[in-house]
Amino acid sequence: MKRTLLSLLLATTLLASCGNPMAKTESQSFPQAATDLNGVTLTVWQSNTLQAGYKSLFADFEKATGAKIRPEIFPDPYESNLLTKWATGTRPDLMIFQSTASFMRRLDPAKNLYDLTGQDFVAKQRFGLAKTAAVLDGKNYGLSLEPPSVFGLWYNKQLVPKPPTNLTELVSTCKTIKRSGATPLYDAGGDQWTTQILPFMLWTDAMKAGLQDKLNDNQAQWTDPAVVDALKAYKSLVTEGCFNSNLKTGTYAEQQEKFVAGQVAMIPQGTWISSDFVKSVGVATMNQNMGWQALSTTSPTAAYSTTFSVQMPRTGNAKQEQAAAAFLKFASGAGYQHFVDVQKQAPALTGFTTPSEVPAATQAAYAALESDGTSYPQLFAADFGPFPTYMSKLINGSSTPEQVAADLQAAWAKSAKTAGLTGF
Amino acid sequence: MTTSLRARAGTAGFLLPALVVVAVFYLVPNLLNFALAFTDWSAYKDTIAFTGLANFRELLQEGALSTGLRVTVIYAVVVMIAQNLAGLLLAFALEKPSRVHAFFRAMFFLPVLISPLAAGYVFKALLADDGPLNRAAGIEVSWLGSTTWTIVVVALVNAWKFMGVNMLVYIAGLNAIPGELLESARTDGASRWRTIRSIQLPLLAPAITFNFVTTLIGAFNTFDIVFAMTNGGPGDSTQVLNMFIQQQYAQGYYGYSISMGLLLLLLVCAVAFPLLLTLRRREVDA
Repeated sequence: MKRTLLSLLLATTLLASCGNPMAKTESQSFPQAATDLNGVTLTVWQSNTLQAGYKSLFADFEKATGAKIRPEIFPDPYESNLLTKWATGTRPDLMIFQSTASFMRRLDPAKNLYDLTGQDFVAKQRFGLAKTAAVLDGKNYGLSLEPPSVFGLWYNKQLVPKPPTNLTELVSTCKTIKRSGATPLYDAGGDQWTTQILPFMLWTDAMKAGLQDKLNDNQAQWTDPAVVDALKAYKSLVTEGCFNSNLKTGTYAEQQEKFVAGQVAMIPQGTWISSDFVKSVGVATMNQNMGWQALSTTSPTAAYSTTFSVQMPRTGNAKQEQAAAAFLKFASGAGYQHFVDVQKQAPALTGFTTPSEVPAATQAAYAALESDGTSYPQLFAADFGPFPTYMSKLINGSSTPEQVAADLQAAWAKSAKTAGLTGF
Repeated sequence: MTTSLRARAGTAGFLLPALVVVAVFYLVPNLLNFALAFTDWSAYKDTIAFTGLANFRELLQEGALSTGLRVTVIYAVVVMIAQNLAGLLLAFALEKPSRVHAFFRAMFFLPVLISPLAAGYVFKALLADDGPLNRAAGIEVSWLGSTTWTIVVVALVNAWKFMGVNMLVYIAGLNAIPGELLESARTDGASRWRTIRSIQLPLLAPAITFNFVTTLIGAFNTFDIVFAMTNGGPGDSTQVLNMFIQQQYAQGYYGYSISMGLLLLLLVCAVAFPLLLTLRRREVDA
């Protein structure tokens, strides 16, 4: 027994002295973009939800440079699947990953990624992306090719002639729609993840007013009244029957289906849903039937949820890194307009034109974001746990709003402590 | 070399390849893995430091662990009982070799070949609030929306999917019972039920032991069917321990999640070994 314990201890000590496979210390400057890329193959890690634009961008790059791109697709939940592989020490040449601060922190970007601050394309980023996406400790580690997804209320123009712009109006609109017999709101409690969106929207005012900074500095807690009140508001909407009758088991697919069919008046969603609507009903029908409205507790303030960005890991292979740098240059320059046209999205870089196929509702979301929006969901310094599970417990009555807030705080404190954030 | 030594050397020769494979691909990786349970390995740090029992202390303080344990035990017990009962009934029904029985054996074994994720998604659709089952039966039951009963529903789907394996093991056990025993029972005028109770079930004990223990271990280690059907919901009412482990790993708490894996292994051992010993004591020879 003693021998077994000693062996275990020895193994542990060996592991401890080995260090984390994630760790890597390099400090080269950003590589020069290569011009001759024949014979070079770039490995790109990506999510399975990326749209057609990336495929065409890769093909255009291959055609223009002679390089080959080998996409490695990670299934959902791609963030954790990608991080699992990252934890083994394996590195791709490029990766299209989440740009939130808390995810960036897990990559230890100062050591593992190239700092893109000061690159031409960073200065051209729209929607404030240069300061908010893939940014950690003031440095920019990603090129965002897509506009960010914006949280907001998608509404049916026939059922909701005047969309609500704050919580009070949302409650009264719900009552009016309910009287007409339609379902005011649909949320997918079965899939769980969609249930975060309305609370995020309701928190926007308080977070923008400084609550987020206080949370990040441990000057405030998730049990703050602004957080709890938004959760109480959600629960109250549930109690008043504003949501679909199958809220506990509803799915994202059904949310779209019922909204498109005109059976549901409003859905809190990100603009990522726009491309699905374009596929199912087309831009003309969308423009005729669907609207988008920013909404928070007291004001119509939009918040962008998240966005992908292209990041460049330090691989230690100069030739590969020069080719990766060439890709970033091409993707943000000669190849970008075609990418935007195929994606049918607004450009995330200045100097390019928006395709005519972008629905009016989606354009309204981008306009709201550019005029007075915030990117607070990108900028949390730590994680706040499995929020969808907490919301599911709230919906099912096994947690109160106060308990959900306490769970968020406990997860937040644990994450901040593990990450070694100052003040925690 | 004596005959006994030669026999032992021969046995060792047969055992060696299997032992090497188990040691290299299972034992050593697991030991190294479990050593990490005593470290602070996370996605946030460059180094891995030995932290003793800190992960386990944190685990015991977290309420989610007790929920995960309770859910896992309920799930495993329901699966163990339902899957064995179904397998045993099917085995008695399809015991005798015939073409019809062979067809039905194949039919009941078919779900075993389906991917657990696919089976989970199919049942998720079937059991939806406005799904085919409720519509066909004209009822409004939220099969997957109950914080109390959904875990049982998911466990029964698991039992349905794997009952074919138990059925085959039980059929093999029944067919191994000497025919003369059954014949003499019939000659003595024993009823079908008396034959099952006094002859077949006692002689089926090794198969029962095997099926109960493997079903229990399999159910403790479940993930995919639950993930596909409920994703741990509603709330965390179906969040089995493996889902909790995955959740923690996904958040970058590697050492912490490995400590949970070690705890799950200990739990499986703590339940499976006593069960194995108890069932083995009941076994009799024909």
